[in-house]
Amino acid sequence: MRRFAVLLLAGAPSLVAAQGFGVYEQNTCAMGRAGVAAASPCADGSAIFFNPAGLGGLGGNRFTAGVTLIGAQGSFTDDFLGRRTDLENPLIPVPAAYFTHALTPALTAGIGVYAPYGLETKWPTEDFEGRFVGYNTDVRSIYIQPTVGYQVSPKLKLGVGVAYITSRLALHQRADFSTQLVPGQTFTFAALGIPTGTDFADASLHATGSGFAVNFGGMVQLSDRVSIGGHWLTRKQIDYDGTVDFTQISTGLTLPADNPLGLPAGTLVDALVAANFGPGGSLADGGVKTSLIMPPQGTLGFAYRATDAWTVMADYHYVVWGWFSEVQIDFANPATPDLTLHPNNSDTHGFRFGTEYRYSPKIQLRGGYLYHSAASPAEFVTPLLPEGARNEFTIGAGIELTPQLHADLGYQYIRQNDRRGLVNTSGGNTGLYQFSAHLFGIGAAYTF
Amino acid sequence: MIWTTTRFPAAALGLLLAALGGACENDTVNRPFSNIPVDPLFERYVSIGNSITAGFQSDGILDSTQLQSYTVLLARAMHSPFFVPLMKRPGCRPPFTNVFTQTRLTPPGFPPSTATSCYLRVVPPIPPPFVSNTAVPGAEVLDIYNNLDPASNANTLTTFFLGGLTQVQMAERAEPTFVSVWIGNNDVLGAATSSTNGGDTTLITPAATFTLRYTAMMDSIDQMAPQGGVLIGVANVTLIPFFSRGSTYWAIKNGLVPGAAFPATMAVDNNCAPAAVMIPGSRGDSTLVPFPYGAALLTAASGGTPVVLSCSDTVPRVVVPAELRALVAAVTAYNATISAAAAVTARGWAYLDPNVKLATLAADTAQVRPFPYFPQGNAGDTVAVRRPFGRAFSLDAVHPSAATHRLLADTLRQLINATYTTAIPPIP
Repeated sequence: MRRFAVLLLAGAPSLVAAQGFGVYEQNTCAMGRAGVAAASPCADGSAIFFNPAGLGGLGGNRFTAGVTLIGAQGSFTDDFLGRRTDLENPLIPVPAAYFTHALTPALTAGIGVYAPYGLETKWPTEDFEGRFVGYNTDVRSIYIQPTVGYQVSPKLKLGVGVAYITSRLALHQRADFSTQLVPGQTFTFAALGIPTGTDFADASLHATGSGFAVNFGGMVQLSDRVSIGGHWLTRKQIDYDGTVDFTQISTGLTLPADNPLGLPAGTLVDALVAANFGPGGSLADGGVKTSLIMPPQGTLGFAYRATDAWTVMADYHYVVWGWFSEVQIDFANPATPDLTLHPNNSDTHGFRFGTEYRYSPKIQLRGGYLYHSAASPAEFVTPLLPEGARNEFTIGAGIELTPQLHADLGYQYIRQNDRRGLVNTSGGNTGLYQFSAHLFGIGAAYTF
Repeated sequence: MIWTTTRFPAAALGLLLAALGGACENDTVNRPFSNIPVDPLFERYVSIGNSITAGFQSDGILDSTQLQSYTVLLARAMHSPFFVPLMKRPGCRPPFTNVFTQTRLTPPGFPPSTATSCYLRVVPPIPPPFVSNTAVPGAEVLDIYNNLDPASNANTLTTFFLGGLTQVQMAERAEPTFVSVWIGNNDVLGAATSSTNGGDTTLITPAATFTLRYTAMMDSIDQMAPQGGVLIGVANVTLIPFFSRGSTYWAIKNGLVPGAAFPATMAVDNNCAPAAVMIPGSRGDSTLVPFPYGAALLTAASGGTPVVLSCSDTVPRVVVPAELRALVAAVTAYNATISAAAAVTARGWAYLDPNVKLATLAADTAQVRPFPYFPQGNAGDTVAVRRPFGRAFSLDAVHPSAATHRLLADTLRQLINATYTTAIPPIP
């Protein structure tokens, strides 16, 4: 049953924190300009996430809340038949809220609550070959980050925050009877003819974890038109503790006469592995622990106010995914072998370009484009994370409804490069993953 | 350093170009067959059948014989993705390399193969999602949709190929667009070749039962909603070189076949003479002598034991005229059912009567020997080893040779092209 356990968590770490499925859209204003905020964060407190230095000199009290609705479309087209299976992702809301309070004209404190990792991949269990790697993965991480920003001088701002992370992880997959070893033998049931893709168990892993990370940044006003800035989110470790539950599924297979197992005609195949689900069996329910190291990441960018109404800006976004190469999984059940996985991710590079145009004193228009490279190596593109390089396009608008109340709208289109991937960890890449998404953001900022 | 208004657009442009440099590099689907089917009709071709379709030859089966099956050749010509449940070399069971010595394929380092040797199924590194050639040796019509019935002919290969599914269930997994069905031979073959009573009519599936089962099978196939298919009729099992006419034995014994002779201790009763010679009671041209029985008589005679071949009704091992008529009548009735199932009024599928080609082959003594080529004992004579029953049949005298599979595939190709206006290229 080792292979089953290996499959259980294969790829999960990537999903938890991959750039591809990470959610950078933590504010509607910033989303409209492709998330470019390192040198010129939106003046609504979202700098807590994008660059804590942005809080320095931010006056008054500000409360901002918003939500990004993510509608993802994806599919896998297998090489064998050219048959396409579509993702069944629901429309996923990702909320964020920030509150800031100016303690002095130079010092501002705030707290932000946001969910940078909150996506879900959901594939059908019927006929999708990848269900044995994972058919439903749900990760919800909430960051609660107290932050202070200080304006050191008219040209320099610094900020720092400490995020407490609480994370929930749910993984679901099926187990394929044909890949199980015949008891006492060195070959699998496939060698005896059990068809490929015979579901016999459903596994559900639920775990929670927590950790801390530090988010700090700085901004420099080079001239009245040019500013530069950057932030760095430190490496963090999330320790997950949870349970794994195994449920036997009827295969519907009945052995005919003269079968190579030597069993009587009419024997249900299910009976051959029923004992594995009992106490002490390799598929007995039990606890599980794992730790995932979130790599450090940061941005470096500039903003250039070309005219009084027009600002252009760009960020370079770097995530040190190369550090994310190994994950250890410890099953409490001694019959289930512990695992060490090697995702072997690569560092990612993101290039974000945004602009904002003040159409009128009460209306701002925004637009942007970004590209970032893939974290997952070619040999580890899975149903859990069919991730790849992406091009993204954004538009947005801000409207001052009253002197205190400001509203933002944003739209983002994600087009991921088509990428070959696997649905069977022992078989290499056997098909093509395609992915795109439409994101709709709405937010409001209240100043008092 | 003072940043100027021109440096920032330049820096931004540089970043943009860097981004666009790797922006749109799409991978593609990589179909293992490198080319798409010659017609959408063959997007997913599935074959249903028995030993012939499975690729059984020389009383055995392994990956190499499986890949010689007519259905594999046809699928290749269609450019259809086609997955075969290959058996590891030397097979399950390994085929004969010499039928007279009962020697079976034994690769170096393997223990001597026997009739009970059985090696495992090949597990490819990238397991295909289903099996395209669902055919199982020994299958009768009933087995196609029910291999748990007491009347089922399930065997070891049923599990190796289908793993607890029926052929219909496995075919369903493939969501076939095109289906070929060649089933029914075993509903009559077992009666003909019975080792205790050749031509045992009690073993023939009654025509009415056959029709009921065939209808049930086709109803199950209809549920898969294939876009087309071809049904192949039951072969006239009395034409295979497993049988020699009693009259052939009589002719050899009486010196009427140049270059052929029996030992003096081998007698052939005059009731084995052809009816045309007008010997009272002669029935040799409507009596079939199974190869194992005739070979056993000849072996005994060669050892000096006096033996007599009689074509009398009292000899259970031979197929006597009444039994022969029953066998042929069953085949005729079966094929009426099968052709009706394919007819335009039913499904509008293609129908192939294999007996047209089989009769043509049988008329050519190089293709189907009227009498087996027994070992002559002279060095260098390999005919008995390679093709004792003719070029058209393998070493078990029942299953077609690779050459006949090619002929079948091409015949089917032409029939399918004519029926569906497709353009399957010739079989290489």
